[in-house]
Amino acid sequence: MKKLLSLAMALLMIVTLTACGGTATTSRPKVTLWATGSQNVEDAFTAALNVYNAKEDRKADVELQFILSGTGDQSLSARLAAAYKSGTKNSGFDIIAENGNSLLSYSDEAGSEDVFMKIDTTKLSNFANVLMKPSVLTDKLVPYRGTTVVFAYDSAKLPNPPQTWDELVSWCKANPGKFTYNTPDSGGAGNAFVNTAIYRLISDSSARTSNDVKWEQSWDAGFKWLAALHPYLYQSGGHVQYPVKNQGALDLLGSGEIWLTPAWVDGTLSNIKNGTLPATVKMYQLTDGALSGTDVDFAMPSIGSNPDACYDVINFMISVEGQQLFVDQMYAVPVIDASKLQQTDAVKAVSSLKASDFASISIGALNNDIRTRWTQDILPLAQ
Amino acid sequence: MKSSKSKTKERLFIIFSLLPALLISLGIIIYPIINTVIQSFQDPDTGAWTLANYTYLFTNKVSSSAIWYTLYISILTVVLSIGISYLLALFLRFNKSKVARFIGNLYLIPRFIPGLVATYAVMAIIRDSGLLYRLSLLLPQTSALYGFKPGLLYNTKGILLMNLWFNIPFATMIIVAALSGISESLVESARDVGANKFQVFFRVILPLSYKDILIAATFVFMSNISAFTTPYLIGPNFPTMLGVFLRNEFANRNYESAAATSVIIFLFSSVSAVIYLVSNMKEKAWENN
Repeated sequence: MKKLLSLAMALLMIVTLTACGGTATTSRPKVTLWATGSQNVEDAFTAALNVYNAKEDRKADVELQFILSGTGDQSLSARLAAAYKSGTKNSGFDIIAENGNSLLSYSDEAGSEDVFMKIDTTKLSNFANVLMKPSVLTDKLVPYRGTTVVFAYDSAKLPNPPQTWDELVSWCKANPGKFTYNTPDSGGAGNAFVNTAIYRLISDSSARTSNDVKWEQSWDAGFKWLAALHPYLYQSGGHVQYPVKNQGALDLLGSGEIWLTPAWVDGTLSNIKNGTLPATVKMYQLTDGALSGTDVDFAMPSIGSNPDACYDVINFMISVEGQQLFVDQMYAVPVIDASKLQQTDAVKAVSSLKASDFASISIGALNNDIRTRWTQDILPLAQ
Repeated sequence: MKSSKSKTKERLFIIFSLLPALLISLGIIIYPIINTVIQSFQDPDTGAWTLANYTYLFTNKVSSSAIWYTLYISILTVVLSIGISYLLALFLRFNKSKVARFIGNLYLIPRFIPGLVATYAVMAIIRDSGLLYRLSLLLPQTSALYGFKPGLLYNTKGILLMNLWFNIPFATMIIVAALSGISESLVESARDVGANKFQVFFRVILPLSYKDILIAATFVFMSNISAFTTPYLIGPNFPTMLGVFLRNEFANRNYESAAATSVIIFLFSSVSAVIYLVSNMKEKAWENN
């Protein structure tokens, strides 16, 4: 009797488990949107999708899959590449939202640009309003916001920051320990600083959007420059210490230990709003070489599902309503004409930044090699 | 008396009930481990069999220093935490004062605080702009301690501080349990035959608690050899520990190198596990005789 009962229980468990695996049928197809970034990006997407999923005339039910940067976000490209290479259909990767230069390394890892499907702009009624063009994979990406790395500084401690790259070096020598950047493999701000420092010394500007391995030979001048700057950076415990993660550098700026650092514009503005950075923090670019910025785009993998539903979602994000949400939630730089938006404080704060002006460095998989080489050449100097 | 038929039925039933757990552990634990080991021997571009990942780890400056630094920190943590824990455990066990009882109630509190919270809390105190520094600003400007920067963050001292914070309660707990197993009568009879305190310790207490010290040391070593959170937040950029190095290799998409690093960490952990098992079996033989 006991044995019969336990066998029945086991069977019941198996049946329930298989039943759970089934999908509930609704009238709208389910779309999974994958995104990475800092917490403010997740909050913005959650707010935007709450508005979209409440609309009566929407064509999809969107689920957000968000991976915080620094928590294995690079696994997204590995998973997409693995799904593409194994020929999976309906892989669950319906829309990917990522920096344009990162999406190039996604296609590098998948081995083909066909991992993303060509965007049919006739299905996007708001596409004509998009002023920003993607830097790479131009027929496969739809920009929905821009972002750039800037120099953030505390104007209370540093009223007149250096204006050129040479002035930056002499300022660091005169004020040792007041400038630093985070390690490139832990945050995009430090990554952008290292990339800009290297690529501004390469005279051929076509290198900035090339993933050709031959450019690795030209990096030596840039690495020499970074090594020369190294001794004048922030020190703690008797040696130079590079902070980890974008937020690590901003924390040092907020506590007053450093006065100047590269930072993402949206992260800086969000931190000022939260109070973790003092209100005296301002942002600027050096006149002879702006830190790199990028378009942040939607891409549709060719192995996803429900493309028509996906177009509807993307169309919402690039509409005036969607753009307003992104600017208000996370200080995103809009891709449409800012004068079409309600002039809230957030819109005014980003109004001076035009996405079309952003200096772009899109080098695909070469970015990993820069980061590895930085770890080998610059990091051991910190002793 | 059970018939052989019902015995087979029972065996089949046991296997049937264990099968799901076995399959899950094979799939989720064993298979990925085998996968990682295989990947650590593969060339990143061609997939061919190669030892290059391992030779790279041992010859490259950044990775070889990570290996030595990790061993250095782990062994130092074991020595310091076991030393301090043993003294603390002896104090708690053999001292009957109010102070001892008070400490006995407090020392386990660090175990209840999540690691990340504790690390950030300690950072807020010892960093160069933290609590200690700000307290020193209250002193008169002429004082020698004005503007005191502890210099404890981002170097070995900070990591050791955090490691002791985490490991002393755990090690003390194990050793106190071991010492409680030593009855008062043993100590008293030793004192009766004229042994002084040192002789009581070296000839009665230490031999009886030696096995549990080894257990505590093994656990402390294994948890520190793969530590990530503390060295990531508090440690120096260079040399770094293997856990942080592994994370960086993974972030830079050097998956084969990351696999080799994982295998090396696993081997270090198994060395300490083997030491523990071997000494455990030796003890049993001694006890049987």
